[in-house]
Amino acid sequence: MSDQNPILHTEQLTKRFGNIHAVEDVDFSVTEGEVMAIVGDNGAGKSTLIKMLCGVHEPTSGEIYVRGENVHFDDYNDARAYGIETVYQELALAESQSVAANVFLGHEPIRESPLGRLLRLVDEDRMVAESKENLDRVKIPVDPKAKVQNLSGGQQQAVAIARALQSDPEILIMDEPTSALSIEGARNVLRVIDGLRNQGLTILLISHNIRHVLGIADRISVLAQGRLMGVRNTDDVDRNEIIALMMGAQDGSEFEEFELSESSEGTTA
Amino acid sequence: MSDASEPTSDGGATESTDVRAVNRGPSSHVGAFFRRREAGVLFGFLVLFGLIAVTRPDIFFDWDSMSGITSRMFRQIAPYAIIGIGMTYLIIGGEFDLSVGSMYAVGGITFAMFLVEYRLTVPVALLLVLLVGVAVGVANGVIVTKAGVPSLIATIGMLSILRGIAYYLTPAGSRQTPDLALLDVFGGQTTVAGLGLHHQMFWAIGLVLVFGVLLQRTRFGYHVYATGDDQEAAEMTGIDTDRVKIINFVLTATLAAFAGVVSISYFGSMFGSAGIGFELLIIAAVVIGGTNLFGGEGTLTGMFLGSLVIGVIPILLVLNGLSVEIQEFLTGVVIILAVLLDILIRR
Ligand SMILES: Nc1ncnc2c1ncn2[C@@H]1O[C@H](COP(=O)(O)OP(=O)(O)OP(=O)(O)O)[C@@H](O)[C@H]1O
Ligand SMILES: [Mg+2]
Repeated sequence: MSDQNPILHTEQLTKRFGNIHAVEDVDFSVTEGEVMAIVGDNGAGKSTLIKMLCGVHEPTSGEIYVRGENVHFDDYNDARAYGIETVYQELALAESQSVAANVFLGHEPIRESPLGRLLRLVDEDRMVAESKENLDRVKIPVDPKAKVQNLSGGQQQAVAIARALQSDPEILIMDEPTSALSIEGARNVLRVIDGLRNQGLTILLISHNIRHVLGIADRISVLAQGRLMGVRNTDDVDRNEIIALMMGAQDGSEFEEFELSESSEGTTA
Repeated sequence: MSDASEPTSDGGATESTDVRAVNRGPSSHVGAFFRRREAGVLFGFLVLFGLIAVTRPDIFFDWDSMSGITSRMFRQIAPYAIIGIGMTYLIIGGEFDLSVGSMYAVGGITFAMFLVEYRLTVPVALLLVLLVGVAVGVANGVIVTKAGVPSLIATIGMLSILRGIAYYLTPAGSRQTPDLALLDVFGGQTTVAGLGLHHQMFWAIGLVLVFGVLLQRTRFGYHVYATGDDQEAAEMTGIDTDRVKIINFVLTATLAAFAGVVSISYFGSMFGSAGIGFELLIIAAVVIGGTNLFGGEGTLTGMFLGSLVIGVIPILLVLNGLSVEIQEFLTGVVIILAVLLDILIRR
């Protein structure tokens, strides 16, 4: 894929917390319609990078461009206005509420009657029907009337994705969508991501799990200690090369350790 | 609570459809009621009520005594239920208000003062009292949300301030309302089939129904639940949680002021010490009624039934000849046990 007309790119994007260089001089770009993975060890700066892209953190320096336009986001609503939605690692669901209420949280549809508009009565039928549509889009069966806390991890992830799709975004950012899930749950979420790509969405996928990333992403950006170590096409890269990039300058003993913990991840979750 | 969802059975193809519907929304019908918390509270109330029959059959099966007792019980819980509406909103939204008992006294006392000293008409006096409630609610809400003072501290402070005002405004110990027929709208009685029905009760039931619908059906109601459930998540979706909380504080203080108006209209006078301890009884009614003390869940129906439980306990004790001190003691025990039980059930 070419980066001639990226939907999203950054120039020398930097974020420091005091003297911690969380993200340093990152030139990063995403092409429309691709699944771009961001991988890196703990503390590599993945979350910090995407938090700048979705308006949560203000960059210390550097620029963000959406479709070539230089943008400055003060909060996630600004990013949303540019078609960027985020599914946070913590999902941010109101767990005692229904699936439908969560999908529409903050944007509940109002009944189209004079009384409905006056009292701002929520159109619950429409909410249930439309959240069902959105959930069908992610192809994980969830009852819109169920309480979120009674759902499995995969189903909760689906609810968070369905909510993100509610504003019809062009770019969907997902922070570790598979890390808290069982093998089966993770597989389902990866299938959802694949489906969304086929519907034309651009997806930024953050993950620890190299196997998941190799299975789904078109390209992989590797971060280490806040710096972008390289970008690879999934088709012409292997696991070891990615790991080597992730480890950056570190020596081989940690490499062994990492291999071990990474490969055991999928079976114990 | 969610004992049926096993973490090991995650994943799509094998997803169990353990879908216990949420306790709100139009889908909840009669069948669902019996699986809900409200059914348990109703049952608890009926058991306590039935204990009167067991311990004092002489009174229970005497129509005149029992209808009088029941009517009085409903009158006594009316202010709890009215204030409990606001308290339920507040607690679902993740805050609470300890100043309601003092606000109740200030409401009733200023109402009498406006009528007698300033010779205002009933509607104008009522409006002014409600505005005092709004002002106190805004103060509570802003101090908690904008200044970040925990509601425990902020509203205990307000409790003390308002109690001081209540005493200051009653140099003679109490204030009287003038003899106005219009006050019967709040404090009168209507006799239906030999039963004296207190108007306070109609106000309580009417307000519970109206605010119950608003809580369940309006966008604001949805935001109240979301705010108390996960404030950060609510804010991320654009909900102004400070605004939600301030409105809840205003609602609570205003209803407390109104409850004071209703009470003084019935009694004809109110002491500076009126309403002491209300906050505990009302929070107990709310929590017994199934509202999660930590926010995000609850209903006004539950709160109303919880008020009935709070109302029937002293009656049961009095009829069995227990002294006032023991009543207070046992009421406290019941409240702590109820809240403890609630926390255990939720584990
Ligand atoms: N709000 C903050 N204040 C101070 N330091 C921060 C803050 N957020 C992140 N950091 C630091 O910035 C660095 C990068 O953190 P970040 O969360 O972006 O890493 P990550 O790649 O997402 O890691 P993980 O895989 O553990 O989620 C870390 O050293 C972290 O401690
Ligand atoms: Mg992270």
